[in-house]
Amino acid sequence: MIEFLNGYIDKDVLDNLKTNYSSVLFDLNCNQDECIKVIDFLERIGIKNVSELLLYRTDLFCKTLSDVEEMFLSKNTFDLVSKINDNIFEIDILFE
Amino acid sequence: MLKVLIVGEVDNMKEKIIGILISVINNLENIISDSVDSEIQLLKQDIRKVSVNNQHLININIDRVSELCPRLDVIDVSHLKFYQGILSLGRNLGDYEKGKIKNILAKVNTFLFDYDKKNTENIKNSKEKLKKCNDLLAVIKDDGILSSHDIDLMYELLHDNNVDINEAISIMRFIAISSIDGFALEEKDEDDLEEHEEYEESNNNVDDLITLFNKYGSNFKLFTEEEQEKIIKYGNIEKITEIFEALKKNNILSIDIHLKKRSKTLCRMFLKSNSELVESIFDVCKKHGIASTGNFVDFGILLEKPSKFFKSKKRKKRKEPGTIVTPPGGGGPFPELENDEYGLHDDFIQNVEFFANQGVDVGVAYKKCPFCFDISHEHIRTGVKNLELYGIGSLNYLNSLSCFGTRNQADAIDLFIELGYFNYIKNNLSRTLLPVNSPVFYRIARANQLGELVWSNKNSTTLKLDVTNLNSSFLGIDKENGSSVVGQYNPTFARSKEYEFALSKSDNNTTTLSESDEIIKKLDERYLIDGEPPVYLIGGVRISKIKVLRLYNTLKLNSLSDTQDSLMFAITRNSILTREQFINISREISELFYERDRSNVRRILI
Repeated sequence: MIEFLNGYIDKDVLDNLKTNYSSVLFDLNCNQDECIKVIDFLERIGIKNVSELLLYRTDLFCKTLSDVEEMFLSKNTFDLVSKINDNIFEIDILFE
Repeated sequence: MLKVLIVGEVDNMKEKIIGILISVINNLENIISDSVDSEIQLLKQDIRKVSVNNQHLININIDRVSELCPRLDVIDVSHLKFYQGILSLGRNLGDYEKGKIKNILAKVNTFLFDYDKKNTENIKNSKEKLKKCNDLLAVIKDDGILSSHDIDLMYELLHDNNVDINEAISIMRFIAISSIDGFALEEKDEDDLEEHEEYEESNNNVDDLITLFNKYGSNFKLFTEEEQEKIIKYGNIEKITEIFEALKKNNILSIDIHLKKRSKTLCRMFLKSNSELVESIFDVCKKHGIASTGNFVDFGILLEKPSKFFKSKKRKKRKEPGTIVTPPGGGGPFPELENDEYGLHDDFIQNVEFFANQGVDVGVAYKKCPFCFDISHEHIRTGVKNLELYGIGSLNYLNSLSCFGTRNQADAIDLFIELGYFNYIKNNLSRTLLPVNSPVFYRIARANQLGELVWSNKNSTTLKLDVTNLNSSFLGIDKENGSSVVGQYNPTFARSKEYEFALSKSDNNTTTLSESDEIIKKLDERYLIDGEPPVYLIGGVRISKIKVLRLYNTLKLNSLSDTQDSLMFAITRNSILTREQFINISREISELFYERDRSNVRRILI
């Protein structure tokens, strides 16, 4: 169901999702095209730990690219990216 | 190895469990129906009547009073009988006798009050237990999945009813396996096929669909061609109309804006959901302020995680990876989904109600952590049970719902305990998401080895940023090299694979069997140190007692326990140990087993 993420996300993270979080697979599958765009966007702005991020905040990857762009733009993107790279839990700032 | 039960064994074991449950239920029903509750009330009434007119004493059954009030003095009983005799002869009593009766009945009243209180409590407990037993019986008869509470109840019943220990162990093993796979262990694919909906090809007229969508302010052509074809081929006009009506009722007057963003989701919704599911989700969102303002629910937000609009499938068993079941009708509109569980409608509602009942502002929580609502309810319940094992209650986890992102919080908590950071994890529960091989653990372990502190503040509440930064190389530890820098020894055991397999099939959060194990009691006697949560200090190494209990419990349920190897496995799993520390622990445990065996031999000889 999430084969479309092969090559974008680390295999062990995908295995973990399949084994432990089968319930989110459908949500990700429904958002296939946008999900890939979100991953590209996160990598483009310099986020290094996208795979871990998917495991921690699956809901970010269920959004459309325009929604995610807007979320980042509403913050200091450069600063936030650096914080997230240091500590993935900092992504929570986006949802506050 | 996990034993696979064949049909006959499953039926046999089910019958045994049902037999035990029925016997317990009968006993409880007898206790409740035999309750002397009404008799006591009548007796109290009679006593009141005596206080008004002594003549009523002749209506009281003194022997029964004596039975109900065993602490009543025999002399008082014989006095009452004597006065009853006098009254039955039609004679009057003097003031002395009247006073005497009054005093004795006052004592009886006090005893009855105590009895009444105790009796009410017993009846209440029996009724509660009866309900639990009936629920458990229904789950077992229905081949459903057992929760950890069910397992605890079964253990309690086996214990209370003095079931033979070997039989009790085999029942608990069966229950443990069934709690993962459901009771229908060998019921083959017929069951799976039942889960799949039958799709009838309806071959709708495209113009009818366009008209229908137009009627609800929407454009059918916004679906992709492939999606349009699916709806034309499999869509049920009546069902689609009902879904539109449900949306209209909730102020969604057009779905075009959503079709542009999420046509795939909406296509699935029109074909696989229904108006009842849609309405109930809107209702619960409005009730709890989820993605809503007043009476208006933001459909767009709900569509981000659409699984809630689809029926939850009954979780009967986990499928082996690679199992392919062909659904009837050649696959329906979404053959790629047929083998997966994806509907979370019931789970979503249960999760919302669960957190709301705990006092969470669900609207705010959903915004911050929707993930915790869109996972199976059983996942949440498991998480709560895991945390409760460590005395971590709702006050802690409700501020950090992201900790439910995993169903295995325990491994990380154990490691933090062993490293001496329990208070930190208790107040930073999102860290339970860290895998046990995270560099964070190795950095703390290394700091412990060097006698360094890793706090970023004086209050010892926050770790230094370099410790938690996955990309840093704090104390020389990066993402990859933690194990080698701290000199971690990774022991192997003869039956490691079997142990790991058993653990992988369980939530490993029950401790009932291991708590009463003889060797665990010896561990407690010798190595348990004060503190909360409990820690063993074995050969100078801190080991989380709860880790040992829960892992050893799973091994015990799988008949893999009671060896030095299995105990060492439970003690050292996931611990960051050097070879020297491992040898020290091993030496201590060898000695413990040697002593146990020696005392057993001595007992036999005596």
